[in-house]
Amino acid sequence: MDSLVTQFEEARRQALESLRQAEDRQAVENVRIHYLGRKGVVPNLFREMGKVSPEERPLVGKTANQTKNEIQAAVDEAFNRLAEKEEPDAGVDVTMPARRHPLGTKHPISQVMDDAVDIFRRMGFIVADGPDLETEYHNFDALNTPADHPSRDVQDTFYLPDGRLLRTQTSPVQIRVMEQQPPPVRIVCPGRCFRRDTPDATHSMNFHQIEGLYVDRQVSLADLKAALTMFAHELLGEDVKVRFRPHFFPFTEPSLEYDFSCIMCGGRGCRVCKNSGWLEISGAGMVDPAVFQAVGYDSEEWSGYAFGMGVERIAMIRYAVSDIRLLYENDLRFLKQF
Amino acid sequence: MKTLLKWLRQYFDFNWKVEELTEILTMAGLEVEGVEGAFELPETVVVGRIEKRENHPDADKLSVCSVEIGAEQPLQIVCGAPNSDPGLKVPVALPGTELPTGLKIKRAKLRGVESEGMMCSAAELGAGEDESGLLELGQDAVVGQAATAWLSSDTVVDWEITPNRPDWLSHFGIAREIAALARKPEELRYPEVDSGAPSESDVREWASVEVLDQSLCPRYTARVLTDVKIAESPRWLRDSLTAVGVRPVNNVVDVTNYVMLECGQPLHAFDYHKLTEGKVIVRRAEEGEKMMTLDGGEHTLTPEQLVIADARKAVALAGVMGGANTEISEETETVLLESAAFNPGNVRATARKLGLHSESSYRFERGVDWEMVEYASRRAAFLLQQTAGARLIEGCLDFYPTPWRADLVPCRLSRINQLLGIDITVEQAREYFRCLGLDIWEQSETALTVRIPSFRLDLQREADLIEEVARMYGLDNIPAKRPASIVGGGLKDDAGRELEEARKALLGLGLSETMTYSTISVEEGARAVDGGDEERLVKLANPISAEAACMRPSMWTGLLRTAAVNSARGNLDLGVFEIGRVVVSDPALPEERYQAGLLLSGRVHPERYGEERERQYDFFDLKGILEDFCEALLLPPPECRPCEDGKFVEGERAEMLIQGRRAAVFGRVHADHCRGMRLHYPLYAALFELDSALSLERRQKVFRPLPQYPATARDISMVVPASITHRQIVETVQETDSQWLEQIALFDLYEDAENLGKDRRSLAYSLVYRHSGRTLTDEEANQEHERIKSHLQSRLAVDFR
Repeated sequence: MDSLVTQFEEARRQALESLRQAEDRQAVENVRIHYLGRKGVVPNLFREMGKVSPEERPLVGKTANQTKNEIQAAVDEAFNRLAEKEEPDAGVDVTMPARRHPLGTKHPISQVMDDAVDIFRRMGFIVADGPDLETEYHNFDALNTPADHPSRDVQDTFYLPDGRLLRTQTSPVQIRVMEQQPPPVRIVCPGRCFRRDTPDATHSMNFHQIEGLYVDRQVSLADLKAALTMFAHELLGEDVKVRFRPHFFPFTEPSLEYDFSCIMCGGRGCRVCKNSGWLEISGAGMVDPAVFQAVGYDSEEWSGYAFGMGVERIAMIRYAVSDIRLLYENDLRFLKQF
Repeated sequence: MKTLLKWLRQYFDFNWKVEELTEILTMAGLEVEGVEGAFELPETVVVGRIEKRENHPDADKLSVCSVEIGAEQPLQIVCGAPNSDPGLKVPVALPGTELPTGLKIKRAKLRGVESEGMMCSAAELGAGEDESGLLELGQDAVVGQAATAWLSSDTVVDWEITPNRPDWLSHFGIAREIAALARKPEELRYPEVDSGAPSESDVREWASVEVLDQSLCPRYTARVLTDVKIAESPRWLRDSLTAVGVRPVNNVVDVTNYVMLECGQPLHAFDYHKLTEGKVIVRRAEEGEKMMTLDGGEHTLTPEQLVIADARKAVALAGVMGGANTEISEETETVLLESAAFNPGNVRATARKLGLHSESSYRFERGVDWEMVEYASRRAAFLLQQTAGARLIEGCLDFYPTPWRADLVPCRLSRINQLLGIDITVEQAREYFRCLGLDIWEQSETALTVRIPSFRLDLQREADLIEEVARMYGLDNIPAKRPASIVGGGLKDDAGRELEEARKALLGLGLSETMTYSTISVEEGARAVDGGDEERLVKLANPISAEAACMRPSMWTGLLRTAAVNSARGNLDLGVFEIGRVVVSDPALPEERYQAGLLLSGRVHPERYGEERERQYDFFDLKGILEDFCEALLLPPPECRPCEDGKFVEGERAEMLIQGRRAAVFGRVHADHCRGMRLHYPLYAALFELDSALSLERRQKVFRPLPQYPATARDISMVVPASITHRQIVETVQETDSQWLEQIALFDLYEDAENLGKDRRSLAYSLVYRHSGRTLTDEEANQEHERIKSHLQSRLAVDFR
């Protein structure tokens, strides 16, 4: 009987020769099974190794492993050689439709809300949340709204039989947060609001707002201007200008409204901005001392600004949507555009 | 609030163009709602001054004018207007001009005389109705300049007045603001009130005023005018009213309206002879008292409402509207003129209760200037003398027991600068306040004490004064200051993030996001709520329509509404979700919670071709999405079991449990819920309880070493009764507690009624074995596999194939 070493070497020689001659994948696979398969030539020789004397064992072992590795390498090479040779007429029509796995599309309201929240988070704001079913105290009283203010009217606000209401703004979240934690506070509150509006192209019974509040020592109107200007630039681009106009809200003093320069016409005036060059976004101001009093903050020590914005309004501007009802209709052909 | 620019200029001269004015006032908080009559004329319409006028040689009605336009030579213009007097400044359209009306101006001969342009009337310029004569530009117009700038005085600007500024509800009030912004308050002119020749008798001989409820009427004045001749108002008065949208009636009514628009003080004129005994009594209405207002409306009153009465009857709803019984008529000869202050809240309540909103109530609701009450009355009396030939009876009845007392409000400079982020001096602040008509009571280096005038009801606190500084300083001039630092450390920001994660996961799974209304009909609510129990719905007390009468108890209704909209429009392939709040009234549950609703219908891949295109969504697509969703949220593995929820079809409905807690129900939507929908495919829907699932402890991401030794797989193929579930088989396998079994996976399902029988199916599983510390031998793997098979056979009625 030839020595085991010789037998390994012979197996290797034969295997490499067979692989050289193999002309298709099946032939290569057959060679592989014949030599390396579970009951193949090489594993069988490995089983013989138990009979080899201890002195011979290192040499035989080395040969055995070399043989196995070389055959394996030659098999891999033979597969690769055949793959290269494969005819190009087995190719594909690359212009055929792809097998796609389309992602879903985020609702435009969510897109604006998420983007806005991201921007404010980068400025150090954290997100706070409050209930949709709100008390009159949080929605109106604590926000310094006079008892006979028209916005409290049953014409304008949805009430529940128990006297609570559907929040008409996200501002009550400010109150809830300030009631629960001492200053400083820097929050944004995205959420759904409700007003008793008859639906039309610009009104919806449901809508979304993002409220912001920053209370700290030495917070000023200059900080508010910076925050809203940065927000406008981040959301709509560096070219957008922001304009601040004095206004009136019960819960801020001074109060202001802010406008963005029209992104449709660049501020030159067009149909969308009613030729004014400006798009009215929302209101803001310095927190009224009466609000601080309601939550037990000392308005001598702390000052703060608050702002709100209508998400639908921004979404409609950003995506040139002309009718707010499209946002709640959920026609797939609409949703898929975003 | 509409204002005529020409009218504003009576009280203050400002030489801003319309655009400048509206810009400056907008930036001061007085927003422009609209501008009427501001129009652009071509540059070739210039200001001309008529130098000379001669009669036309061949036409009686024409004249030949020499018109100076600032050129080398005056123009010769033929003109037919009656008012072409020398010295007049008029708009001149030069040859080549095309006017807004379409008229083209050419050099032409008129009856043989050369005319080098046209002098224009308002109508010819398209600047108004007036075609009776040349438009007079006023003597301040500069000859030769474009005429547009000098025409704006007829412009009407509509302002949006915020509720805190009732002092802006008049021409004088807005002029006062303009003067403040122009920094020239000293140039403000008050309306003229020369009271004319005194009469022989005193007003006390004519009338009396008695106020029974001072809290509702802090001031009441009355004047009497005799010899009134009711007629049409003069032209200027009618034009002024018409321009701002008030219909002229007669000279007396027009004067009261004019003065209201001028001073912000509503007035009322009674026909004196219809007032029994000349008495005016301001009192609460009696319960059930009836009154007909000027507009013909019949009202039944309550003591909540304040009326003006004479000795017998109510003659006006205080502050809201006069009564028909004392209305000014053609026969009126003597007028009692009321000017008063009423309680804002009471006027608002009355106006709202009776649905009567007038220009008068609008102003009283916001609060009038007590100190203006008597002045406005004097002003009206003056105008009535001028326009209705009236004679004023000497004196004024003035009930004013507690006169206005100015508040003193202190304001610290440090606070101004800190809150606004600016750096001004006390002198600057003082100057701003002076311009606004706020007197300084006291001044130190660090603070001012300001005396609040009677027309600024909104200024009560330091913060209010700081707002005034902000307006005068200009919000635009306040620097935008970049945040110096962030508030950090220990603040958690979980709210919202998890919902974002959930949304992202579903988007990644190919579903599109929808948003539907939170309010639905009670009928829809009853179908969506668990158990169909209407009591668990949270209903609105004042819904706007039956379709939006209660809060959604689940996402169910929104999903179906979305399906219905899309099916009606032929969008039959749907994969959508909505995440939002749902509301139920149930002591065992939080009132508001977040839920995700998922909806699948139609084809999975309509964008593909061949067989892949045709495959429709089924139960297992939905189940798969839910499982992947759980995985994406790092939730513990969910389990499914059949459920009884009637919203779904029996046999294709399940609940998903996570750690024994119900996280979702899902399945094929029952046909009862699809009524009215044009469905071509079954609908599959899921309701996933986000709050509850997200409160579970999430899987921590910790690395587990990769296996070092190879695995070996063995298959089991078996025919089992259909009553045996996949889960039973897997659990039975797991009962063996095999140390080496790493995975069991179904790889084939075969159902064939002919060969296997209806109640049996063939299942094939692949079992993967691995030892963590060494390579398993074939024999070991075979033995373990056999052990598992025999266990299966001993427990379940399976036949191996």
